[in-house]
Amino acid sequence: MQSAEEGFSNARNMASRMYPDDEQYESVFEERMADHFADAVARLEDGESVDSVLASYSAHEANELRGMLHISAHMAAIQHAPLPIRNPQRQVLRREQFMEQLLLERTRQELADPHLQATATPAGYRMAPPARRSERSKQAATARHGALGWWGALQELFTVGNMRLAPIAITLVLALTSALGLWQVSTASLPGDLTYPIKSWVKMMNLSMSDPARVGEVSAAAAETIQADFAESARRAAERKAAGEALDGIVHQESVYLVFEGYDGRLLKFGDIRVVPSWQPNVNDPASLPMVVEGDLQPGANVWLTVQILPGQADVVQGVRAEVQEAVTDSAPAPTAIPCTPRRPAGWGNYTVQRGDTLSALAVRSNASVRQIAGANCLESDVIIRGQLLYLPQAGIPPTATPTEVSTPGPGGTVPLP
Amino acid sequence: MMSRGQVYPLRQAPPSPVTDWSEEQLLEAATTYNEAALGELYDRYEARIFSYIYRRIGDEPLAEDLTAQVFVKMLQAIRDRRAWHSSFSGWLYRIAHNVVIDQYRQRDRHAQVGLDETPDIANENDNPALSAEASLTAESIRFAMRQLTDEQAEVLSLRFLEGYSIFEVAGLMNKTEGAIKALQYRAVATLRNLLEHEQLHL
Repeated sequence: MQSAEEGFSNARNMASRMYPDDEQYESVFEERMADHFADAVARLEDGESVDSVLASYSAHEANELRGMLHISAHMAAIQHAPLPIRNPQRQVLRREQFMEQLLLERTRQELADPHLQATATPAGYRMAPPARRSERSKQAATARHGALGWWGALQELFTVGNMRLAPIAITLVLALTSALGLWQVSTASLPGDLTYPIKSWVKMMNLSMSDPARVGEVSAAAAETIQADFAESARRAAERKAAGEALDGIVHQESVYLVFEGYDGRLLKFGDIRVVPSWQPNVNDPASLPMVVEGDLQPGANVWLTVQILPGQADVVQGVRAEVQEAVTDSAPAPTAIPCTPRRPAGWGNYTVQRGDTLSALAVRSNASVRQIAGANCLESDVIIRGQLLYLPQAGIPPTATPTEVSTPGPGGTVPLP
Repeated sequence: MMSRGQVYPLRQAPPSPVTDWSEEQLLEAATTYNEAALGELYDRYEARIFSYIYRRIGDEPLAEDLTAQVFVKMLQAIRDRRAWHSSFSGWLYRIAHNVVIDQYRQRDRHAQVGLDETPDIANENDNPALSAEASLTAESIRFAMRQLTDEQAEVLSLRFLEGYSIFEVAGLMNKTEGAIKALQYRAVATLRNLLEHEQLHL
C-alpha cells in the first residue's frame, strides 16, 4: 500500500499531466485540500465518525486527511483537558500588581506627554462612559475630557488626580462667583457632591496653615465635621437602600484629608472614624481587596484617605487608599494611644467576624474575657464589624471542614480552654 | 445650581458600572490609563490569555508569569490605537503568542550556553488529566509547533487549542477565511510530517 506521501505525490503527478501549468495547479489542489480538511474537521466536530468522514474522499485524499485529523483530534484533547486550578489569593495579588503597573505606566507617560490627563476619579467604579469619538470631535477645547463639555471640565478640575489645579481653579471660581455663595454651598456639601472636595481642600489648608501646636485641635475638629458628613451621607444612603435602590448605585467613594491617629485593632483611627483596611470592589460580592497604603503610615501623619461609605454605617468605612502627605514632624499631635501590635496567643486561631457577632458573645463562646480578646487584638473599644479578622481562642471558632481541630460546645454549654 | 446629595453631575446620563460598558467604551477610556476601565479589561481577558498560554506550554507557574507579562505589554502599548483597533482580543493573543515564542528562544539560548538549571518547557507537562500517552503526544505536539511559522502556530493555537471557529480566527488575526483555511492546512500537514518522522504512533 502506498504511504500517504507517495499517494499524495502520485496524485500531483497525475494531475500535473492534466494541468500543464504547475504553479496554478498546486494552489488549486492545495486550496481544495484545505477546504476538504476544514470540512472534515467540521464534520468531526459535529459528531461524525472518522471513518464515515474519510469515506467521502478519494483514497489518497483520505490518506492525507487521516493523519491530519488525528493531529487535530489530539490538539482538541489538549483543549478539553481541564485547566489547572489557580490560587485565588495569588490572583488578587496579581491584579493588584497589574494596577500598580498601570499607575507606573501612566506616570511614565504623563511625564513624557503632559497633555495626557487621567480622566475621572481613580476609584471611579461609577462614572459616565466616554462618548463616541464623533461627538468628541465637536468639543475641541475640552477634547481631552471627551464630550463632557465645559461642565465636565469644571468637574474634572476638582477630582483627586488634579488637586494641584484646585487652588488656581478655586481662586478663579471664587472670584467669578459670589464668594459667599460658593463657600456656603461647599460647607453644606457632603461626600459625593461636586463641592465636597473644596471643603476637604479648605480643611487641608486649615490644617497645614495652622499653628503646629494646635494641629491636634484642628485635626480633631476636622475629623468631627468629616465624621458628621459621613454619618449624614451614610444615613441618606440607608434611606435610598430602604427605598429599594440597588446597592451599587448608592455606595460610592470619597477622598478626604485626615490625620492618622493609630490603630484600633486592625482598624485605622482618624478621630472617631474607624477605617477597615480593605474594601469591596463589588458591594454584592463579599470578596474584598486590601487597602493600598502609600508612604509611611505613622500616628500624626496627614493622610489623603479614599474611603467607600456603606449605607447606614456612619462610624466605620471601608478604606480604599491611604496616601501619606508629609513626614511626621516633632510638632505633630501626640496620638491618643501608642500603637499596639496585635499578637496571636498560643492556641488561638483566626476568626472572621460574622454578621450579628458582638465582642461579648464571642468572649462567652470562647470562654475568655472581653479584656483578653481585646488585649490580644489591640481593640480599644468593643466595636467589631463584619469581615474583621480577630484572634480568638480555638474554642470560639466554629468548626470548618476539618472537625478534628475544634470541639463544638454543646447547646448552651461551654468548652474549657485547652 | 448644584443640588445636594446628588452622586452624579448634571447634564449627563446616570453613570453605569464599568462591568456594563462595551469594549469600545472601555478601550476609549483605557487610552487615558483610566484605572477602572483597564481593570475591567483585565478581568475580562486574563483567564483567556492564561489558558491560551498554558495550553501552548503546559507549565502552570510559567504560564502565570507570562500572562502577567502580556498585560504589562498591553499597558505599554494601549495608547497606540492602530495596534488594536481591528481586534483587541486578537492583539492580546498576538502579544501572548510573541511572549511564548520569546520564552522558547530564551530557553534555547540558555540550553546552548549550557545552563542546566533552566527546565525544558517541552518536558514540563504535569497535567494529570491527560493520560501518559496523551501527555507524550501533547508534549510532542507542543514541541513540533515550535517548528511552524508564527502565523501557522497562531492559527493552530486559536483554532484547535482554544476552539475558535475559522470565522472567529479570521477576525482575531485580521485575515480572510480562505487564508485561515490555507494556514491551518499547511500547519497541520507540517505537524503530521514532523511527527511521522518522529515515528510517533498516532
